[in-house]
Amino acid sequence: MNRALFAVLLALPAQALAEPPRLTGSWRVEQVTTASGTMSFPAALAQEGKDLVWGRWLWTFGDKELTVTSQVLQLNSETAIEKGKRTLQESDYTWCSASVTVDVGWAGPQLMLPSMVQAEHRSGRYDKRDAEVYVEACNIRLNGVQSLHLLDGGASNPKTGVTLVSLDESFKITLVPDKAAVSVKALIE
Amino acid sequence: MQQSFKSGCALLALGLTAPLAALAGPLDGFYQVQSIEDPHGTRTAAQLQPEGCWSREVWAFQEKMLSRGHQERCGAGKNIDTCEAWVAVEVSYDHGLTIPYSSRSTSESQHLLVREETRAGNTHTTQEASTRTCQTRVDTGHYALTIEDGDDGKVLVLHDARRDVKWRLVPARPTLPPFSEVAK
Repeated sequence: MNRALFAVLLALPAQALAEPPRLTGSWRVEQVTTASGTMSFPAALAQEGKDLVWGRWLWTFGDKELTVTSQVLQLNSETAIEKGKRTLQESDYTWCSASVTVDVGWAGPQLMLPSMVQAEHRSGRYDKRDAEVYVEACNIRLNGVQSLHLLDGGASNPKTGVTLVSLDESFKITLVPDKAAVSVKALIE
Repeated sequence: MQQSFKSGCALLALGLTAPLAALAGPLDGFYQVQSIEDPHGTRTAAQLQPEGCWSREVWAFQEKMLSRGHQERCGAGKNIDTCEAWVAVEVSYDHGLTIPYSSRSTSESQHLLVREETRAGNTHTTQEASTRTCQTRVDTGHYALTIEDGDDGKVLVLHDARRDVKWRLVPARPTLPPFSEVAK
């Protein structure tokens, strides 16, 4: 009986025994399409009145978790003073990162996630007169999406990435592989 | 006499129910944690604050939404930073509060000042950085809702029986208090 079962298993095509497609590791958001339009990254992260040096949204897939992260590095001001042969340049940067981690599940190429994924970070600094000098904020919001289908079985190409789309096709997100860790110091240099 | 007996019974009933009244929900408004009671003991809001900081844990209810927040102000003198982390979930009310899934949020901010000094063709670079990290979370589960009479008024109690955790919440202002009041 066991031999017969073994023979049947051997006869099955390799694909039938393969793990169902799912994403693991860190992926950078390249484009998101919703009813409001298409956002391309990192341009979509640029905030009014501040210079965006660097920014990204990141989706990091764990075993049963998804962490969605928004990260921006902004240049607030640059001042240069020249005194004879001496030049002093001051650059004022703020780094902001906000992430939310939620439980998710995979059913084949289908990713099930909560109907709301939302996180916000605010930060500020105050001077002696109790006046706010600056406030930086990172926000991530993904509302009303409960199920996403991984197109083409997640066949990934580092250049083209992978695409997840909702069942009614009202939400579409394109992800490309990326590393989770980033050094702010390296970004400035 | 009969009337007095009835009044007495009514007072007794009130006396029994006033300290602990069950709530059906939905909740509305902005609350902050007064204390957390779990199998390890009770921690008050003051004990939950990071060293050298003012902070509070917030539960904000609006229609079907629950927002959990951690707000803090840390530092001294001119270098005082504020940091807030928020996470939001859609909840339901059925003999209490039901949070359908867990969610946690971590946020970080860093302020950097880069100085480059060039003298006689040589450049010397220095960096000053201050970093703040804030975290908050909501845990899935069913929370019984009751109202208790506290020393400073009504206290909203959320009880997670499965984890044996009680959150005591008091109404709070949505805005942060003036910086001068919370600076340590």
